[in-house]
Amino acid sequence: MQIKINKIFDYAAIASGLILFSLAILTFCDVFGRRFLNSPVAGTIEIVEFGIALVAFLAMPRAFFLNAHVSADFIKNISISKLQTFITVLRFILMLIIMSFVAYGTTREAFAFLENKRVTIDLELSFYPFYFATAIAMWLSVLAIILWFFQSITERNIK
Amino acid sequence: MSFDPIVNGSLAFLAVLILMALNIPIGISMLIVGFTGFGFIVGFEQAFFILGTAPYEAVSKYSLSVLPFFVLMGNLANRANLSRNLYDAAYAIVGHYKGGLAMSTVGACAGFGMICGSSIATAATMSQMAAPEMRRHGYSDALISGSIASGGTLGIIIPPSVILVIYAYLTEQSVQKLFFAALIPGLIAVVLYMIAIRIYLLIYPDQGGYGNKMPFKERAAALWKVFPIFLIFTIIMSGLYLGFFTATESAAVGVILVLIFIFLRRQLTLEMLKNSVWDTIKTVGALYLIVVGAAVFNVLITVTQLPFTVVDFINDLQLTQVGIILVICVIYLVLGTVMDSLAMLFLTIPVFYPVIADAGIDPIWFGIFAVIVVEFGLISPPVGMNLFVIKGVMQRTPLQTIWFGTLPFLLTDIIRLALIIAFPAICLYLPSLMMG
Repeated sequence: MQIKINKIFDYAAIASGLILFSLAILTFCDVFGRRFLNSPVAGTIEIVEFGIALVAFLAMPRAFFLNAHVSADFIKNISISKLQTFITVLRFILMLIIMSFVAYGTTREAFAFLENKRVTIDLELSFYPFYFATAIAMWLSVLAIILWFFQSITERNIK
Repeated sequence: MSFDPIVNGSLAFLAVLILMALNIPIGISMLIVGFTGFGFIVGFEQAFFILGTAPYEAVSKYSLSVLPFFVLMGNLANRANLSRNLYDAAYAIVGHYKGGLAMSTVGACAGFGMICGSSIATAATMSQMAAPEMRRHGYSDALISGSIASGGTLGIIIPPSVILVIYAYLTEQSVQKLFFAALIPGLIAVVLYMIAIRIYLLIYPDQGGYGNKMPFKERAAALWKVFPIFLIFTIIMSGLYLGFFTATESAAVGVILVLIFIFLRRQLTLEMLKNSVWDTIKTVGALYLIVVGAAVFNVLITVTQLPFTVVDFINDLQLTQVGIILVICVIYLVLGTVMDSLAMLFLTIPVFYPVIADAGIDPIWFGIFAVIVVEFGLISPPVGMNLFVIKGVMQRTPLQTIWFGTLPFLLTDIIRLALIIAFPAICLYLPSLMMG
């Protein structure tokens, strides 16, 4: 079961990578079109802004699951088992609480955007689908934190 | 709840430092303190609003979208083994001199810095190939580790630089101008590092040797292989210089050009693409969590009014511009010994920037100054990230030896810092010529 859930983070990361590539191609076409064909791609900046947010938030769950986030590791080098367990539990609780709050806050904002129907200037794209996608990615990060914790505790017990 | 701004601000910084020391990710530490502090000062309903809006707003800024593109460009180049070609080209030029391999490492790091904006990535990539090669030619562990760790720092000063993009984002300065401001200090660093290697080997002649002199044909072939890298770099920089495209556009163009280059070399495979994207996504996820944390933390810092209080405090001290710079330099050097470079920038710039702006110090110049001082932190114990990267590759080498090896290079960094303080034109001349 856990292996299957882990795949979600990989899929999110793949989606993030594909969006990033698409944005690079879109931006390149915009520059090429603007400079050589006198015909830029309309709304490129708006799409890039939305797209990069998706790239970033969809990349986070996998980074949480792989414990790839940047942290100072001088305590990590102290090999006292109980201290390490304490740090892992503390890290888990704090990450879980704050990321749940961020996910909750983003979901609330997504509903607010759904109500006020705010759109972008050039392409008149609605904000709410992107906010909802971000909120989903945030909740995935929360799930990734939970799975990371169980995985690291299980590994510690096996050791 | 209301305290003096200094008390509130200091408590916030202290709390972040404590959480970071407890191995909590930097982004999460800033998120927690930002949210909690803001909740106590303004109210938790508003704090939830900030949590819901600030992360998205920070991440979706167009100016910051340059980051993932440059990271992707560096990873594509790395996976296509361009770093090996750069090393071979640098070796072809200076490899046969005394200490030539160490100089080649510095040269290759500078070359890799032109397509990769990260110091750690540069050090990690170069250590894989340079360390075994130098060992084979009888170089001491100190010189090997020193040249790689210090050469790695060129990754963040030679454009495109991730740190400079973040500085531009935090201070709303032009990325283009910052890239051009960094060019001459970056080149000075390369020259000074090479001089440092020569002087080091004059003092300790047995710690490094000569490489083999290559025939002219082989040299030309090695240089030809890296020509496209220089071409891509030239296209990006001239496009920026002429105002032909923005920083984000230049990064996207860079990605496509590197892809075309790899395709022409018949190295473009699905496996290679997949690995580059995996590496990129991992870095982007980690990087943007810090951006999210900093966005929320900076709201708290603004609410505490700490930056304004610090400005008033500095004004009361009646320090000259150089005095202010020296104070900031000392603070950075102290912080650099215990803090990651990104965290240091994210935490300090919102406080220091109003101070330097108020004192009339050029923000572009200050950006370069900040990056150079941050470089110190990357090769200073106990948490110099580049030292740990080298340690990962040279596992049997004691950390003290690695640190000793970086000392001559740190000395040249101090000289470079003194030069840019004495002659700000080193940084500001090229941006002043920019068009567009």
